[in-house]
Parts: sequence; structure tokens; C-alpha cells
Amino acid sequence: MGRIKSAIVLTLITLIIAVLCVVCFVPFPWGSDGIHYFNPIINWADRTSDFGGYQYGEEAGYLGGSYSVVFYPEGVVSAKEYRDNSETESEKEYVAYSNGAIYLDKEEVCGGGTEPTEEFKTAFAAQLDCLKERFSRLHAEGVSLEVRDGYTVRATLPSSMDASVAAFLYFSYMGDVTVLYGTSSDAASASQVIPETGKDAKPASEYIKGASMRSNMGTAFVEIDFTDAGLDLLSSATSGAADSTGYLFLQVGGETVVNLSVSEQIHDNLYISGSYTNDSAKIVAYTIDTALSSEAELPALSMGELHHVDGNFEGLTLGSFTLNALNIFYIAFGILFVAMAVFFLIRYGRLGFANILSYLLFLPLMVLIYWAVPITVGAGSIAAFAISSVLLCVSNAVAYEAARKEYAVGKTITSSVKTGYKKTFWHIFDLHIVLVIVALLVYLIAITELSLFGLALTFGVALSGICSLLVNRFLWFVTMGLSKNPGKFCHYKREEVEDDD
Amino acid sequence: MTKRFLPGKWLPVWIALSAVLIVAGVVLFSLFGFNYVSPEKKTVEISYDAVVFIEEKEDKLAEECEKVFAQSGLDYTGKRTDSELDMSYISETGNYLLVYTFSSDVKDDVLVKAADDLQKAIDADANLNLNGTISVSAHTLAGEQFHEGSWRAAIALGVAAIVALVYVGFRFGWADAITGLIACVNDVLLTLSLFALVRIPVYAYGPVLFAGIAAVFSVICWLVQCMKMRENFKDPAFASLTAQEAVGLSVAGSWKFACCFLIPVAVVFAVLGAVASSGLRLFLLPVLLPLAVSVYSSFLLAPAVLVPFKSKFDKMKSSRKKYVGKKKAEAQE
Repeated sequence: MGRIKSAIVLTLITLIIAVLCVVCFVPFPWGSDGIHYFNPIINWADRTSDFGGYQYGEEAGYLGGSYSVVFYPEGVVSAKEYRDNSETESEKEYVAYSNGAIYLDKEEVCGGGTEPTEEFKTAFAAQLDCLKERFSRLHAEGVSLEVRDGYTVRATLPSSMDASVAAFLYFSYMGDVTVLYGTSSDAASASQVIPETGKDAKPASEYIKGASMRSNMGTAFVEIDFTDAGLDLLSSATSGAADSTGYLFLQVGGETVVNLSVSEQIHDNLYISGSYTNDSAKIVAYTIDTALSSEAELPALSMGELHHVDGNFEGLTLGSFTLNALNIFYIAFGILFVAMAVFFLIRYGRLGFANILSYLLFLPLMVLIYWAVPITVGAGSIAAFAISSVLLCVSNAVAYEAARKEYAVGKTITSSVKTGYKKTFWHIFDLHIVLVIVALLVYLIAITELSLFGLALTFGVALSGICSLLVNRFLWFVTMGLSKNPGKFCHYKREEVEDDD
Repeated sequence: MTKRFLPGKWLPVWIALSAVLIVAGVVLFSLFGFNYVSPEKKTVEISYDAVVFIEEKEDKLAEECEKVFAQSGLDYTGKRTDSELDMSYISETGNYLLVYTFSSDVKDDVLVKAADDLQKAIDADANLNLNGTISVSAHTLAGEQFHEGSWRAAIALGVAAIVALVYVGFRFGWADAITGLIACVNDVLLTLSLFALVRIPVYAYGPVLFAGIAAVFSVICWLVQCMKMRENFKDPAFASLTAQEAVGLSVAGSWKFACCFLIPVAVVFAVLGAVASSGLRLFLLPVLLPLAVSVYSSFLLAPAVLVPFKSKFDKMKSSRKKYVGKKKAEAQE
């Protein structure tokens, strides 16, 4: 390629990279009113709470971050609630626990004493197990449960999850599963169908096998799987539904979780769709399913205030300014990027620009992938990005070194590049293909953060392969066209041959 | 003649080294288990309402908090402000929660006293506690583990390692795949043993996850060796060498190539680990251990294990070459 052509192509490529980088990373004012700002794509990507989140719009909606709630068993109140009530009044009913962080009902929790009774402890342990089962089944990154002050539970869900607030509410419902049927839309006037009431009352699990989330053609629904006995009861209860519309209520601990109108007799399992998303269908199904498998009848938990957590600002503290994980990552990335650029420019001269440009193309493309897939920005996706970046730079370096060897033995630069790439192609290909297989399997089998890591690594490694084998080679070809002496351009030297005479 | 590295000769040494470390690790693990990090953390939470926000007293409140913590000799590790939301509309209510996080080593009584002092200081300052609604409380939180994530992670990484070894088998030969499998098992056991031996603090999910990571690193490092050997063994100069000499020569020449990949990975994890938050650091820095183990096995143990396999497979190959069939032999003549 001639020098002018090279210069034009290189300018165009640089412009494309610059535009991509601006779109992905740089916020700027939009319009002349001084109110509107262009939000770069990196800010559109979902983030876990460790990597910070913020509110957009006036009222609703958060990008990134997480929601948290504290669950309180019956008879346990927060210190704030205790103080908000008249302290003199409260002292008669409550005892301080965990250095006054929470207050326990003297009668209900402590049985008249000052320490919680064994019965309360057992019930709380069962409630905690039930919560753990429900939250772990969500398989979402950023989900956490912490026991706070011994007898309350702090739950955190990512704000990127649909219906995360509904999850807190539904997951606080505990106790027996009941199915009610009536002709009014008010559950209070409906009569219980399952479990059968009377002398030989059996638990609901004798009538309902379980509940699960299904998805078909983009529609999410909740499947309620009944036993034959359950179907018999349901069928006889809904026998008149064809004549007058009836209403079916599925309750957990007396709280309605499913409410549907019935216009014909039910003979089969229920497949309930409607306004469910995958996440909300999961939440309803897991609430019912775990309540069915609970051995003891558990009291419901009450919820404290809902909070939005912008980020866990842990790590570097500079004066009164504390950096969150994302800012720390930006600093680390900046240091490593400069180190990489300096290394390539020293070792390969101006050829280093080919690597820098291919990396600068890789960078916004990864951001676009994270946003488009979407991949939540968290520890897993950052680690995958770091590994993919190293892989790209190493692959480029391996190709440069192979060409250096060829040039040293006397080949022309064009032939050296061709032979160098020919020799290293299968090395680079093998490494990338094995990593893609590993990453894909990890994505398919693992859950939460590691699954996210697998997904991000799959895309990262695939993009690294393309950038290394195609983009970098093309950029090498283009940048080299600018120089009259390609060997010097790449810092390549011929091997010195000693004369015998 | 230059002295050649003969990996097969060192096989008993590497087996002994691995065995000693693994046995010692098993003994220590059965006595003390792993050095699990306490899942506990402590916080002081200050809840305040919209009045404090509107009057722009938040900075003063934070200043007061930090002054009291400093007086009590407490260093916080994290600070954040959570906004309270309305359950129905997910919109902000105007109330906030200022949360300071402390390490689990902080004594309860010191933290509770600091919280009490802070409450008194705020109550006494009419300029700060504008309508008496600022409430301070100290809490202890213990994280719960979701075990499904850990065992599925280990299975995922294990399956991925085996599939990658099958790829190695098809691409580079079954001697390499069997050796890779042995190295992989060694790396998993050795990593777990070293975690038990050197008492590196880990989260409850740590050992299983790091074992899986060791398996993957092991396969990648061995893959790099296989590539180099495949390239070298095509060289006619290697044809006259014994399996032992050929493997030794190839491994000796692959240091530079492998370092190109391993050193940047180690540097990236070390830099990220050094600046990361305390929670992430406990994942990023211990990753260097499985990386070191896989370097040991791919450069020292695995080449030594490969030598007998390669000799055997080479013999099988040459014996297969000897018999070409009657018709083919006649045609060749």
C-alpha cells in the first residue's frame, strides 16, 4: 500500500475508533438548553452494586446498583422503630438485643425472659433456610443474604432484575399454601378448596406437587402442578365456572400470590401467563414451591424500608473521598494500558501503534457487547475483560515476535509478516478456541457471577481472536505503508553474519 | 556438548514433592480446615430525613460521624449513602441511610459506644438534628452462602477442563491429553493443599472455586506447551532425539513463550488485587497461587510425566508404520 493510501486509511480507522470511544465513554452536553447530556454507552450497561449505580429520570428507574430490605420476624423491631414509639411504653414490652441494635418482644420472642426462646430460634432458622432457598433459586448475580444482629435478615437484589421489589414482598410470605375459589373477586369471600378442611386434613403438598416457571415463545408463565387428588378437588370446585365466572386464589400464609378468573372447569395443571416476565414468574413460582416444601408452618416476615444502594464504596480512601470499585478499576486499567503501550512502543517501535489501535478498537466493541447482550458490569465481567485484553496483546506480541525471527534470517518484511502469521496462526487459534470452549461451558453450567464471567469471556476471547488475526494484521499492513524502511519501523534487525575471510 | 535438560530423570522428585505437599495439606486440612474469612462485618447506620438533605447538612453529618469515629479510634473501611424508596412507586421518599462499614475485628462494645456517642453528639447539636429524626445504630452482619453456586462453579470448571483436554487429545495426541489430565488433577489437589498449608484466608466458596480455576489454568499452560512441542517436533533436528531429549529441549525453549502469557496475567491480577476493595482482593490475589501451581506442573511435572507416555506412543506409532500390508508393500516395491 502506498504512503498516501496508508495515511488515508489510517486516518479513517482512527476516526472510527475515536467516534466509537466517544460514544462509549465520553458524556457531553446535547442541545443548547444546557439540560440534556449525552450519556455514554458504558453508563447504559447494568452494574452490580460494587460497581456503582445511579438514578435516572425524576421518579423511577435505576441504572445499576441494588435494592435492599431488612426482614423482621414477628416480635422483632428495629432500634429506630423502638425509639420512634414512646420509649417508656416500649420498655414494658421489649428487651434490647445485640447491644440495642434490635428489640425483642418480651412475651412473643423471649417467653417472658430476656433471651429468645428455643421455639423462636428454631422458627427463625427455618425462615432463614426458606429465604436462602428462594433467593438462591433466582440465580442472579448480586443477590445476597446477611443475618443482621442475630435475628433479622438483610436481603439485596440487583436493580437490573425485573420485579426485584416484588421479590422482597413475595419472599416474605411464609406459611401454608391454600387454594380458594369463589364467585367474587374478593378473596375474603372465597371458600378454601385445597387443602381439604375437616378431620382428615392433609398438607397442601398432598394436593400440589410443585410450581415452576416456564417460558415459551417469549411468554413467561407459572405452572402449578397438581396431584390427582388436587385436580379432583379443583375440578369439582370449578364445575360451575362455565355458567358463571369464578375466581381462583392461590395464597401463601394467607397472602394472595396468584389471582385469576376461571371461565371453565379446570381438569389439568394450571399454566398461568399474563403480565409475567421471566423474573416475576420465577418469583411467584419459587414462593409457592418453597412454601410447599417447608416442613413447619412458618410465620411471615415483615419488611423494613426499601433502600437503593448506589454502590459499596470500599477500597481506596483519598482524604474524605472514597473510591468505589469501578473508579478503582478505571485507575488500574489506566496504569496497565499505559504500561502496555510503552512496552509495545519500546519493543516494536512504531509497529506498537498497530497493537494500540487494535486494542482501542477492541475496547469500545467490548463495551458495546456488554450493553447489547446485555452483560452486567461486575467482578466477573471485569475479570473476563482483563483476561481477553491480555490475550489480545499477547497474541499480537506472539505474531510480532514470529515475524521478527523471519526478518532476522533475511526475509523481506512482507514475507516475514506472512510467514510469521502462518506459523503462529494455529497457536493463536488453539488458545482462543480452547478458551472459548471453556468459557462457554462455564457460562452454561455455572450460575450467577461465574456464569456472567463465562459469557463475558466467550465474547471477549472471540473478539480478541478476530482483532488479533484480522484487525491487527490489517493495521500492521496499513501502518507499515507509512514507512520507507519497514524493518526500522518495526524495530526489527537482521542477524549479523560473520565473514569467514 | 551442552548439557540437556532431561525431564524424565526428575519425575520421582516432582512426584515426591507433589505427594509431600498434598499429604501435608490433607493432614493440615483435617486438623484445622481452610482458613475461612469471617463472613461477619460491622456497620454503623445513620438514618436521616429529607430536612437534613434540603438544608444541605449531609456533609456536616458525615463530618460529625467521622470525628466521633476518629475519637473512638475506629477506622471505617467503607461508606455509602442508601436512598429510601417508596415500595409502590420505587421513587425516593427523601429519607436516607448513611452507612459506615467496619472490619469484623472491631470490638462490639467499642462500636456500640461510638454509636451512642454519635447519637448524643447529634442530639446535642440543634443545628444538625433539625427535627430530631436522626437515628444512629450499630449492627453486625453475617453473610450467608448459597452453596449451589459453589458446586456448580466447580462442576463447570471441571467439565470445561476435561472438554479442553479432549480437544488437546484430538489436536496434539492422546499422550499429551493423558499427561494434561494427570497435571490437572495434581494442580487441583496441590492448590487445595497449599491453601490449607499456607493459611491464605478464603471465603467459604473459595477452595472449590480456586480448585476449578487451577484446573483451567493447568489446561491452558499445558496447551501452550503442547503447541510448542508440536511445532518443535516437526523440526528434523528433533527426529534423531529420544523422547526424553526432545521433550526436554522443547520445554527449555518454551519458557519465553509461556512467560509472555503468564506474566501479564499475573501482573493484571496482582495490580487489580492491590487496588481492589477488600472483598475483591480476597479473590484476585489468591488466584496467583493456582497460577503458580500450573506453571510448576506444566514446566516441570507434566513434561516428566509425558516422557514415558511419549516413548510408548512413539513405539506404537513406529510399530504400526512397520506393517504396511501385503498389497501396499508390493506396490511400493
